[in-house]
Amino acid sequence: MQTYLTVSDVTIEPPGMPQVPSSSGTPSRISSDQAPEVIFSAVSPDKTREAVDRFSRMKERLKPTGELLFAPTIDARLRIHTPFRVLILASGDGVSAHAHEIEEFGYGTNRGEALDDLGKTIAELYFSLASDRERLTSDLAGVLRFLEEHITQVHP
Amino acid sequence: MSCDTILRLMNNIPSVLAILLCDWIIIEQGTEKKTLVGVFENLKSTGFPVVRPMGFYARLTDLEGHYHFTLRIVRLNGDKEDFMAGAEFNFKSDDRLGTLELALNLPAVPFTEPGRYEFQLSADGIYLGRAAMNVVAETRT
Repeated sequence: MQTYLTVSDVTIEPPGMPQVPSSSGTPSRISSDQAPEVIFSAVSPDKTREAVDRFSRMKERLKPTGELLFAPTIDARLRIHTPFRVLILASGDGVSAHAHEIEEFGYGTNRGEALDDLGKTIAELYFSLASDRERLTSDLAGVLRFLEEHITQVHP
Repeated sequence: MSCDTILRLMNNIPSVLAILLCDWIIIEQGTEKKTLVGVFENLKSTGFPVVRPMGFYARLTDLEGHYHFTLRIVRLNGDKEDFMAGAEFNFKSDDRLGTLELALNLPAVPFTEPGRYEFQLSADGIYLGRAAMNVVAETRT
């Protein structure tokens, strides 16, 4: 079964801002039985008090915490079924993402890049350990066991 | 909600098959097929702030249970992130082999200044992925 969600009735355009014309193409708007409850807010000095309050509440709700649960698609062959706990650490010249349970890091100029790098690092570590499974020291075998508690290889 | 609570209560984690940004998403009535018009990564503007209607498309699978999705639109500012806009929505799935398409035509996303922006998708507080775009100042000739 395939399902989709759309935003069809939300207007957030802040007045007084220049508009870039969009490409041609009018979206069809189909109501769905599973239409989502969507709140979409934007920064604008011209918003009403209510809209500003709503935006502030959303901003607070969606504020990232110090620790992140990390479960993106890190490799087409792998699937994360239990998220990794990741700490985002900012330094003067960039951001690091620290999967402290396995002492692995990802680096980047921003949070997204650091998380992408961490994903690649975890995938490489998994494949590297899994291919040498029979010859691992007990420490490394423990790391592999931990990874396998979080990751499943779904394709060879 | 703390990470411990999320881990205790979490549903099956969705697998992200694609996340794309585009000008518009056309949904064909009847077949419900999606056409993504103008997939892009760079946006040029001669003036700021600029407001741009755009489409956010994500395709996910492995969903089973109730999910609370969040979409955060942020401007990357060095090692910080400035929250620009967001959306929240709930979804229930009882077909793990099915797919969910998020086809969101966002009416007006504000870009206050040139830079790199991210659309970050999470489910139940778990980070699933992102789409990034560059907003570039273009000088009028």
